[in-house]
Amino acid sequence: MDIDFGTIMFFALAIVAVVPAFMVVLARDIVRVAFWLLASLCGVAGLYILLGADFLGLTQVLVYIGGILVLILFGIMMTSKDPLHEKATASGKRSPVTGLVTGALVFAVLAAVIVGVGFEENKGVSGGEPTTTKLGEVLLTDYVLPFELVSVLLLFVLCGAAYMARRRREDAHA
Amino acid sequence: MQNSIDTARKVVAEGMSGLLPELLLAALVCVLLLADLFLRGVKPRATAWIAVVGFVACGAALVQRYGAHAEIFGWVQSDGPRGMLLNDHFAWFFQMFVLAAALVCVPMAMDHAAFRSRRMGEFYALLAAATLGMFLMASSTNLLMAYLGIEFASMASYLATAIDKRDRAGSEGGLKYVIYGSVASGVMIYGISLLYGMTGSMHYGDIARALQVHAATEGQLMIAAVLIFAGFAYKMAAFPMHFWCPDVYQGAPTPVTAFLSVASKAAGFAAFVRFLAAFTAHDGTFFIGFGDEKVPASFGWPVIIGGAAALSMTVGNLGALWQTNVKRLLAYSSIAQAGYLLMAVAVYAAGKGQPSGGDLAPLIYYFVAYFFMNLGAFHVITVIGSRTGATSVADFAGLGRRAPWMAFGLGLCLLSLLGMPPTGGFVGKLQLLSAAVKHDLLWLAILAGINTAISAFYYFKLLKCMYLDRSDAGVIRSGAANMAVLAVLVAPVLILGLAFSPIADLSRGFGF
Repeated sequence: MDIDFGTIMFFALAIVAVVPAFMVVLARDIVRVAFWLLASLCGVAGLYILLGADFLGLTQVLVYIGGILVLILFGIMMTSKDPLHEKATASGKRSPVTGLVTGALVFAVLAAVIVGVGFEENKGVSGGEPTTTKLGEVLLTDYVLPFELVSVLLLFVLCGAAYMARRRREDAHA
Repeated sequence: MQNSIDTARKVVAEGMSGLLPELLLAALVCVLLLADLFLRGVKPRATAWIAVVGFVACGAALVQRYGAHAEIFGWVQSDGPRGMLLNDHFAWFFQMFVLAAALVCVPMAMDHAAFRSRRMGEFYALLAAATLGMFLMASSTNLLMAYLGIEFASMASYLATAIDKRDRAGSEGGLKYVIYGSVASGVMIYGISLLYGMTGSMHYGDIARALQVHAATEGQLMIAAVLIFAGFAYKMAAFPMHFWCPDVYQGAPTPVTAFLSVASKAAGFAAFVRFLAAFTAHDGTFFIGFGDEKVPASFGWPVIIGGAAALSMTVGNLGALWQTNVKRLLAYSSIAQAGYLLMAVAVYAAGKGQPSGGDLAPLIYYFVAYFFMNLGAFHVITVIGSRTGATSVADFAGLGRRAPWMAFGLGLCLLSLLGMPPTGGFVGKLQLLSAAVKHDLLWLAILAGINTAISAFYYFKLLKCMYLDRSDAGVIRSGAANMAVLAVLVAPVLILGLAFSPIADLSRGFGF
């Protein structure tokens, strides 16, 4: 097995993705969990970029780290009375055995499938060149219908979210 | 580059002409969202009438599309088209079905007590959006489109469930719906990614072609297929993805429950049957290649679906036995109904493996009957609930005297759900059972028979309450409009049970 730069980078990023993922499960303080998640998501984004999916990697950073993670932190801050105090993630003690067995089983089955299937036959298109242009082209040709439909979806979900969050005068009276 | 843009322009132009009903629905969503702002001083019911006009216009466009067979938004290649949506008879039936359910839900929502005093533009916009999502589910020939359709319908359903913010049960139901829904769609997209990795495509035709040559072993396919099935089963409210159903059906406003129990289920079945057909080749043979030699393998679909069907009906019927809330009772009943309907899909899958090919007619017929009997039952519950606040079975005591026509309608719908003659449910179930026996699924037919006997207990419990239990409460005035809706929904339950052969003949035309 020849060890080149790509392999070293892969394992480095894999460690960045996997070790914090374990910490997400094990950590007791929910704020710490959020920050471990940050590291894990960064690792995954790095893996995407390493595999040549630069656009996907940057989207991962923008959406998951810039959007969802910040949302989680805001959620913790807004909903707790004392945001600086340690927040326990779970109430009461549970046996970890069930979770471990289930997790191991699911992992084993999925790993067997992923290793068994010849994914390499269906390798992606990118040979190191940037994917953004190609993705843009495909989104407005082959996938124009889903692309436009997603915009309708986002429109009404946005309105629905605003409806849910807003306080109506008639609600206040009731 | 220029060439591909020209092709794209042509594909979009062709696709758009075949997409009129969907475009009308998308426009309706936008119009309804804006209507509330501009109709501030006008009666709250104005938006409902806009919704009715929109749905009818969409229906007219859909009628015009009848008989079409076009795969749109795709490229025609030598071995077949690669489109996103396929407008055919099968899609047409389910789209008409969903649209009709949405249309029936409008008067129900107009009558619903909690909805009366407020502006409802958002609600009808969500109804239109959910309908659009279900349209896409019914006609998608691409896993990406199917997934997008499911998300479309789900997002609108979550919001519609929790639309009454003063109602704690509705908010709780909405939240549970979101959480279960996210898990289901996460599982499904994982399965889709596995299948994409195996076959290199998300288009059903491509998947079928890739499966014919060696693409994956049966075990690997099974994992991917079962994961994807989870997403569809969630929309059908079938085992093992039924946990959300009782809480959501109970908590949601009754018109929303009615819409979810009928339209959402139908769209889930439509999308799943389309996906199922991807596991079969175009010439109807049911092969999965293993290495060099082609083994006629039915891929265990009849067993997987049959198992899910058996468990759905058993879990649904046993769960319903102890329910005291009417909507919760009907939620468990609808899980059981999903089981009967899945039985029809199992029969279809079993038939696919044989030279005669699969037959979808029993599924279509049962869905027609289910449309009227389930919507009829929910209509009565909406009307009675809006006037008396009735939620539990005991609240329906003496309904036979207090609102005789409503009680008669509900009674007939319950008998039909149970499968008693002379109702549409009886004929539908008879067709299901005979088809199951014909395709060597005798065990499933026997189990369905046992389940029907179990379900008699809780359907008759409600009937007994309406007609035998005494109540001193006064007469309930239902209103002429509600009576008209009741007649429209309940008369076909009888017609489907008595003069069934024309509709049974028609239902044969809506397969693939």
